[in-house]
Amino acid sequence: MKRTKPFETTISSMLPAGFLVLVMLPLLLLPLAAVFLYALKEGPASFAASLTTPDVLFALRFSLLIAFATAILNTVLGTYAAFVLSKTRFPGREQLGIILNLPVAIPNVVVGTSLLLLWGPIGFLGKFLEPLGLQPMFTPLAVLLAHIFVTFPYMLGTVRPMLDDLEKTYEEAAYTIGASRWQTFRHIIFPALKGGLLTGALLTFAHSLGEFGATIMVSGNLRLRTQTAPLYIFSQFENGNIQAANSVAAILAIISFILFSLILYLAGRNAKRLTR
Amino acid sequence: MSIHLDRIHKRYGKHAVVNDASLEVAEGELVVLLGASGSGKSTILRMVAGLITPDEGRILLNDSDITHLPPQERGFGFVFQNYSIFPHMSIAENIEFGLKIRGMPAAERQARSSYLLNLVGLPGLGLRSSGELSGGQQQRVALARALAYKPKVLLLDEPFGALDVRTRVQLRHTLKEIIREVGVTTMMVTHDQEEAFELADRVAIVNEGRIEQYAYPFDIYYNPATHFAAGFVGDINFFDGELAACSDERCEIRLFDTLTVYRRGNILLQPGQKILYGVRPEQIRLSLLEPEPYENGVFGVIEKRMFLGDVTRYSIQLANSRLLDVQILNYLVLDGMVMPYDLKEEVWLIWSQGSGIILADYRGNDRKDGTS
Repeated sequence: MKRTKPFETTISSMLPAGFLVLVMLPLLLLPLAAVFLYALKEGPASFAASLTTPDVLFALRFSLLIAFATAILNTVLGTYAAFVLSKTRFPGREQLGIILNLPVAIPNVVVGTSLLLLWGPIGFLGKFLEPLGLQPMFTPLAVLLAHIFVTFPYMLGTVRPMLDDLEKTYEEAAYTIGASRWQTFRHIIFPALKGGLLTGALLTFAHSLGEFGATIMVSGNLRLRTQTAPLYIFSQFENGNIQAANSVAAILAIISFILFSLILYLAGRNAKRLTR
Repeated sequence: MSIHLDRIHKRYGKHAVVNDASLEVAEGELVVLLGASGSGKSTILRMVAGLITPDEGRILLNDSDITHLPPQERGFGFVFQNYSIFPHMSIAENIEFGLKIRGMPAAERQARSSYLLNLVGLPGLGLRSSGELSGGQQQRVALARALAYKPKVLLLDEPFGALDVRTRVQLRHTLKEIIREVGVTTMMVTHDQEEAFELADRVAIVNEGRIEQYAYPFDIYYNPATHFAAGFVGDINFFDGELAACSDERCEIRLFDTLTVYRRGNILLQPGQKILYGVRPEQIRLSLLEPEPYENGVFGVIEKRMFLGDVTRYSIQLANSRLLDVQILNYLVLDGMVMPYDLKEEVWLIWSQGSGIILADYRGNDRKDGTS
């Protein structure tokens, strides 16, 4: 016989969750809903039309490309940094670890400003490049640089704890069995990190896709050249073109939502594997 | 393959972890390094494996110097306390890993791994993952993995340390059989005396980075070379003493100025020499009758009595308030061959003049008086 809970218990157990939804409604859920409502207010046809202008297509493509490149580069750089910090011992290791995590703490606008001060036409290093006809700022390269800087800690932060937790005896076992350092990495360490690498790469990708503060400083917001999707949304809003802005915003929101669902799923699976 | 450690040293900072350790392991022999945690025994084993490089000294494998050879090129098998089964590989893949690296064809690898799974008593479990296996089973896999590529030497670092008592005893028997069948030269590290005695051909007692004694289990127990070796293996009552007179047949020993005991045999020490005299609790019997002239004896009062299952342990206070431990087999009491004694009862403690351990080289400062 199946026993049902008394009605009052069901209600009282749902109260905290209900309160949470009530508080978050105006903070999170309603604004998100508003984006989709505005995007679709004038019908799906105009939603589709506002997504197929050359500017939008470029901005979305450019954003995805930058995010992809950033994710790949930071996967390599972040994994290497995690290795150095986790598996080698040298004076100043702790301090270096803190410095490498700084981009999370610094406001993105400040990152953008600092890149300009370094590489810009009157910047510390940029003024030597200017006479050579080289100008890294206000180009796609500048956007990439800014994104690598801003999203660097995500990969590091995902991989390093996994490396720290990986028993040293796995490596030692592989060595005694006869595996070289490379074979040990390829057959033992890399498979153990695989989930973390994917999570870190997706996290980097998602943050790059939504990056605004640093990008607006270093890109010059040049349409069809350096304008990312978030910059496009901002520009259209400024010009009162709310429907166009919201259409792109809706697309970005959907992509981000999918990415973070994936990340949460993967992170949950990794955690389960590690605790087994 | 034989192994020869020739005056190995290892320091971490100022702390000498291994201090002038020398050891020879003959072809096919099973040697156990026995010591407390932090004694340096694992460091010695890891240096043999090539995971640590000694600061001084040489390691020889069949007379060729392998001191600086990386672990990959030694071809030794190593079993860790925490099993270290690669978590993302199946059991069979774990066992075949060393063969795969050596380029053995898949069919041969599979044959070898199923043979090894049979050998370690896990037939047919090749497709499982390590998470589905118990600790004891994982350690069996680790053993199979280390034996897969026919290692020149097998090294075991506290292999049963993480297992419960029953599994430990079971696995110990399996290990002994397997090693006998494979015939591989083996070095094992443990802190468990019973384990060491059961498995070892020879035992090396390691203390503070030094090898205190390297001998057969029988000699370690009955002819310990040092105070530490005597106390680490089994229990022992130790007393300060002095040799009073020696002949070719026996020595007269004076303990704490009042008691005279004898030890048969030629002791090869000069009268007047300060010594440490030890006698193990199970070598002493209790009696209401005085000792015979050919026995050693001392009179005391029973202070404590502990029932330990197979034996009862008495603590007996001597006239000068020193305590001495005696151990009596309980079945002898149940069979009526030996009397049970009560607390505060006055008894004779009697032991043979053929037992008793005499140590001349003891360091007087690191030892308490009376029982140790």
